[in-house]
Amino acid sequence: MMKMTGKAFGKKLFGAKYERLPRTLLIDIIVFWGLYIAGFQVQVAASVRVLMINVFTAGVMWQALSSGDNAEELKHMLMLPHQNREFVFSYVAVLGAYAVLTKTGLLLAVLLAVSELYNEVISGRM
Amino acid sequence: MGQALLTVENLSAWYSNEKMVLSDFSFELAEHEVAGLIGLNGVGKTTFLKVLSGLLPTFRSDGICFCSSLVDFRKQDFKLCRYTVFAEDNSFSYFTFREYLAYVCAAYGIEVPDVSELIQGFHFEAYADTLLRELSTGNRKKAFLITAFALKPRLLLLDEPVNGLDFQSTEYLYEQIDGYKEHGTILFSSHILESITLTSDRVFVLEDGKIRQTFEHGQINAEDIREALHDENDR
Repeated sequence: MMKMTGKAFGKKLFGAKYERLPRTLLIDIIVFWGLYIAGFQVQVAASVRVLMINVFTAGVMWQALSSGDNAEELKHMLMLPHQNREFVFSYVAVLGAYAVLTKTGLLLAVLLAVSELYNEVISGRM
Repeated sequence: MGQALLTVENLSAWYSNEKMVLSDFSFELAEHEVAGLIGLNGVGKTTFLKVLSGLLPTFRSDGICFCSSLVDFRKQDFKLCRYTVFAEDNSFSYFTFREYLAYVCAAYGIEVPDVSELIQGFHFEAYADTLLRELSTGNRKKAFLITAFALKPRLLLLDEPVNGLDFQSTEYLYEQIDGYKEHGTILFSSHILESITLTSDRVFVLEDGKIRQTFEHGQINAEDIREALHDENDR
């Protein structure tokens, strides 16, 4: 049931065939390589990076949660007899995946390209 | 008419503090009956169904019993006995009907039943594997109605079930409603007098958030109900 609930939310957020996912990841890769090859460098403190990523992800999740579209979907689902914990877990998990993969991913691509983050990741310091 | 299935005493419901939609609304549904709610726009038909579906938290009541026990509309136990089809529902838009049916059956803990007869009856064969968002209003309604009659819950709530249906599907719906009494109880709201008079064992005429008049089996005829509605309009 948890899997099916996740599927219901996943299809709503990622598309009927989850087509938004590869499209977004492709854009992220293009942005990353474009900026990396261009050689832009910006000093961004690690704490700032973490704050940016967390706040941005939380903001996207909040926006998705409070959309009218989402409310309509939830209304019908809440009428059905779910196990509450499973339902909440599935919902939060899919929403988190949506925020990270389709929105925060772009921010991560930019940060990886323009800051020391990429080199740190490659050299294993992260 | 069987034993009491659902009893509601002095229910009040509201969307904002300024206006009560339902006030001192008392109501009883029996097992294995079809009950119709009729009234002008804004009298509280859909609001009542929303309360029963656990979608409207702003209500109070002196007592609500389901099968003689106090009930919380948001609890699992009651939800397992109830399914609602609303007049407009844009949820699960990225599911096909079959996916939606499988989902709902899993939620209710039952195996997916054979719905070929229902699909045929509602002339839904060409749409069973189409995304719900790509269906017309009427076909989307059919998807939810087929699910409702496949599930056969003890209490089936239908909000304006005839809206958007073509003539043949409407006739089939009346047959399904009529035959549902052996499985459970249906409470439905409608503006279409014919749907009320052809299928209901009891008809409740709503006015100003209360039941103004009740018509029992044998007393149900279009003329008397129309007169009751006209009187309501004249007030």
